[in-house]
This record gives sequence, C-alpha cells and structure tokens, in this order.
Amino acid sequence: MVSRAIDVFAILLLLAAAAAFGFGIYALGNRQDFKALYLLLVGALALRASTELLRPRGSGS
Amino acid sequence: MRGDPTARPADTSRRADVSGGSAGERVHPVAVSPGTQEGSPFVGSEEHTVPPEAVGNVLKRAGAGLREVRTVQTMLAAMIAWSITVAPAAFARSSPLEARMVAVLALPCGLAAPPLALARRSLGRHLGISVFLALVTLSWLLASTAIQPQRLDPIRAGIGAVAWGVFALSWRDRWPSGAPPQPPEGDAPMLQARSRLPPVARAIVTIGAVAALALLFLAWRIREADRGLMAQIVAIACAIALSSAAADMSTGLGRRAHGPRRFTPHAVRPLLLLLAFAVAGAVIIALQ
Repeated sequence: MVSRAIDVFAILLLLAAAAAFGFGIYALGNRQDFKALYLLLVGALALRASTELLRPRGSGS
Repeated sequence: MRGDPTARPADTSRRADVSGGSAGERVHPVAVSPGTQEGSPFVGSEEHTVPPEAVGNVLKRAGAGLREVRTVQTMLAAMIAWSITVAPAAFARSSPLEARMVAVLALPCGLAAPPLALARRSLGRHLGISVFLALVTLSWLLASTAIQPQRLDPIRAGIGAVAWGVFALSWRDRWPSGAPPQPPEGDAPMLQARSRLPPVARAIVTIGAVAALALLFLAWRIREADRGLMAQIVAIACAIALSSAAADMSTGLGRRAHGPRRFTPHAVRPLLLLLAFAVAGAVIIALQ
C-alpha cells in the first residue's frame, strides 16, 4: 500500500516538474526572470525527488 | 572500410595509380593525384588520356545506383536541405548575383555525388559533403543579409535544422560488422526476463516525451532573439532531463523485487529541499 502511494507520489512529482519547466520557460519569454529561475529550480528539484523515490538503495546498489 | 564493399574498387584503383598501372588494371584518371603524376616519366603521355570504357563503367554504376533506395534518399535529403535553407537566402532580393551562382553550382554537386559515391567512393563523398557544404557556406556568406536572425522564420529554421540533420544521417556509414552472428543453439533454454514493466511504465515514458516536445515547442514561441536563444538552451536541457527521468522512473517501477518502497534519506533530502524552496520562493514572489 505504501509502495503504491510512493509510486503515485513520484508520478505526481514528475508531472509537477514538467509543469514547472513549462511555466518557467513561459515566464522567461515574458521577461519575468526571477519567476522563471524559481520555477526552473523547483522543477529540477521535483524531478530529482521523483527519481530518488523510485531508486532502490537498501540493497547497497 | 573493412566491411564496406564499395570502398574496395577505389582503393584498388588508387594502388594501381601509384604503381603506374599494370596491363590488367584499369586506371581511372579521377583517382590519379597530381603529386603522383609530377614525378612520373609519363607526364604528358598516354597516362593522361581518359579511357572511354572506364568513364563508361563509372557512369553505368552511377546510373545503376539511382535504383537504390539509399542513394535516392541521400539525393532527396540534399535537395530538401538546399531548397529550404540555401535557395531562399540566395535568391532573396537583397542577395548578390554571386550568391545565386554559387547556390546553383552547389545543387548539382549535392545531387550527383550520391550515385557517384557508389562508383568512386572517395570522390563522391568529397563532392557530396566537402564541396557541397563549402559551396553552401559560401552562398550563405555572400547572402548574409538575407539570413539575419531578425528575418528568419522560426518554423522554417526548425524545418531546415531537421533537413540538415537528415542530410547528415543520409551520408552515414555502417559500422563494420565483425564476426558473423552465430546460429542459435537448439538445446539452449529460453532466457527469461528478470522482471516485467508495469503497464503504467509506457504511460510515464509517453508523458515524459510529450512534455519534452511541448517544452521545445514553447521555446519557439519567444520572439525576442536573446531570450529566445536562452529559452532554447533551457528547453533542450529540461527536455533531456524530463525524458531521461521518465525512462528512469518507468524502469524503476518494475523493480519491486528489491523490496517494498519507503522514504529513504536519499529521497527525503531532495523532498525537504523542494518543500523549503517552494515555500520560500512562493512567499518572496507574493511579497513582491
């Protein structure tokens, strides 16, 4: 049950990262540099978290 | 070169040229380098005459190459790249006559080289790649006023970039195949996959690919030149990160054999950083 919830959470993080990247590039085109940088960084962190959630670490790999 | 059968006739004729050519070898004048001829005692003699049967053979092989799909593909790729990116610039009203002449000269080089490469590989590749690209570059330099970034249509520029990518791929060489594949042993047991990907894995990869393409499309919307360039760089980086992360996640979903998932410290750290950064950034943007 917890594993399935983590899978769903990781997929949601991937979608959030894609949306953050999209809004970040859109903000870059609208001369909103600070907002663009913030959204791009949030997207990068969300993407990193989503892949780390599904990466097995317990068996020493 | 080792596994390419089309390279052998050119190499053979080149060896024949260096050695002066025996009675049984046909010497083609195209393969004779000037440096080789300078030291030859036969300068100005019959060695310079073109054997008509050799030219006929080359033309016959080049003509037969027109029936091969790959040759036609290479010719089409050169034609499309030329017509999308060279012709509009060279034949613009602001372009000089020299640019048009060079552009017109480039087209037969690009079209004649693929069939010629079947008969004379080195000459064909030099004509189709080196000479064609040199003439195209010269044409662009002469017609530089027509290809300023302010006058470029983003969609045409994108299609042109794809066309040149296809042109590069059409001139590709196959890797030399090593040992011939061994026939499968009849008594060997079937290899089973360690695990199967869940059905949602395909959906995740599709979402990642579509999102990556959408980011690239979004960057093309920006009209301002400097920001557009920056947005292209950012969009390409984000698209690569998204697609590779989606592929990583889809394979990670199939690794249930490693035990139940849990929030490991490696996963909690970027989550906490994300939470702190998202909240702090949202507060700062709201205060602005």
